[in-house]
Amino acid sequence: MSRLPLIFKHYFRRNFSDPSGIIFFLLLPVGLIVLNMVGAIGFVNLAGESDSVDLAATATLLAAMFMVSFQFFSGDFIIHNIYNDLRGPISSRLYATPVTQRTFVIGCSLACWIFNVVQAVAIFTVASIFFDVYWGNPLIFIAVVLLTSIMCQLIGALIALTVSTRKVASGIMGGLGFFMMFLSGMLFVSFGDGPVATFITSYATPISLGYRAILFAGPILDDMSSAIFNVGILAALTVVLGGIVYLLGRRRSL
Amino acid sequence: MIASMKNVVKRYGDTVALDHLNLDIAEGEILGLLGPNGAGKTTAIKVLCGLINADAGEVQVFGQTQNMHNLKTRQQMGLVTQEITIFTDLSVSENLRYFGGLYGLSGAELSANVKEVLDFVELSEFAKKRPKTFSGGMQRRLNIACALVHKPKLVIMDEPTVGIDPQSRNHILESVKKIAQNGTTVIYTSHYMEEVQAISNRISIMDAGRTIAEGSLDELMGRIQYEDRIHLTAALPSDTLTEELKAISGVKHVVVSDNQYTIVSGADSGNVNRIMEIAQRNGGVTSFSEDKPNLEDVFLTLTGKCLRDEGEV
Repeated sequence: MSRLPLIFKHYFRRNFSDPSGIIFFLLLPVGLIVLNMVGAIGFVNLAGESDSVDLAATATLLAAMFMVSFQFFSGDFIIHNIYNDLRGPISSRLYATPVTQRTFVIGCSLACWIFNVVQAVAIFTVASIFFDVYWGNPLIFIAVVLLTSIMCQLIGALIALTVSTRKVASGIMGGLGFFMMFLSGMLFVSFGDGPVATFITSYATPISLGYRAILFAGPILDDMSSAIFNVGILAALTVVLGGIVYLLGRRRSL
Repeated sequence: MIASMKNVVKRYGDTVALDHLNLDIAEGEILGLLGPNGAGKTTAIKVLCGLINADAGEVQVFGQTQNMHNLKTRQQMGLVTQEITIFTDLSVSENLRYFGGLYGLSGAELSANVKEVLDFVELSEFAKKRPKTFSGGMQRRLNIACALVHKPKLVIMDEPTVGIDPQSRNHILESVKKIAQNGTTVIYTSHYMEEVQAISNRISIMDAGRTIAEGSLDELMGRIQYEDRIHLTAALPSDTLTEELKAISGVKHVVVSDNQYTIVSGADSGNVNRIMEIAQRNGGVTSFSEDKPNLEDVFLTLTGKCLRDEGEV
């Protein structure tokens, strides 16, 4: 683990000097959120409902949903790093060094995790300045960002360490993101108002847990104990996933 | 011995990549590991470097059992991979600093080693350039430098000259000799017998996952029966010249085509001087050459196969 700072620095520099990473994992999420919020606000204004609809609340729902969802889609960044280096031709050279696979994965994950945090901060800043989004209790917001971004790294690493091809791994990560959004009721599909449907949309995925924690911690749902409960479940899931990835982090045969 | 493999077996499904392979590597030598594609050379190297575990057998490096989880042995080993394994988005110097850092180097020691290895592979003036735009030969040199930056005691080079021009190849071969002169042990794999023949102190020939012959070049040559072939172009070809050549003791036959003569004798017949003397007496020669046996002949004799194309003979 003594080489961890070196490996972290290596991936951090490479990730932040990679224009495609900046475009796809930083500018695109912020751009899409801005586009959606401008569209939604414009739609409300066009319908002449601007007096009866709380525009800031609408913006909050959209911003929180996209912020948490993009955390998970960004798991593709660690998949990209792991496949390029630890499963690509250069892996022979890396594994010939006195460094464990686990150290490489952790160093790489930390660098990608910083990227996720920067992404969340960018979304937070743009949404707060231009759309008056209610992010609610800052501690809950920070906890959600930290936990979802860590979980995203763990899921990405788990997929990259177990799936043999990069395309399939990326497909799984993206598919998982959309599936979690679908289960969270974010893809315009209603599961109804029954208790099972409510449970699924509220607690079945990390996206819904994070999204609702932010809403609970603000004026929209205003229920701090539920916000803390959601954060607690997210934390527990993160610990379990962390344990699985740690065990899988042992070196595989080349 | 700095490293050894005893009865090492490695299977990939039904394919036996290493079939009770035995290999000893003495300190300070250049061991040439020669074999056709698919002979098991790369698998042997992966096992030796601890990149994969053997299914059976014993692998020792620096007196320790080598496996995928032994990190201590790796500290003194350098692997030059068959593929070019460098970061093309990092500069030459950044590549070397990263790999040096992975071996625990830092500060002044790392800077000094980077400078030294850059000089060694003659890439100093390109230190700040990214290798994306480099020629294959320059990338190969950086590939080698990345394995040497931590000054390992044992360097393993897996076909380091694949796909490069003759000039770069000669540069790399000269570099290998220099590395060994500095006391570093080198294992050099290739399916180019000229390379192995040119640089190795000892040669191990592999086929189908096994060592089929091992020894110095002379020892290996001594294991095969070969014929001396002398080719000459006579200035004045004549029947007298042909008859006199045929009459030399040890000459098996003489093939004549216009003014081209091929004289075939038994191994080490020592007939060169006598042939030249007769040819000079009969009008002189305009050209002369002698076929020497090489590792290709050794491999052919031992396996009935060619080194390069793996075709049955």
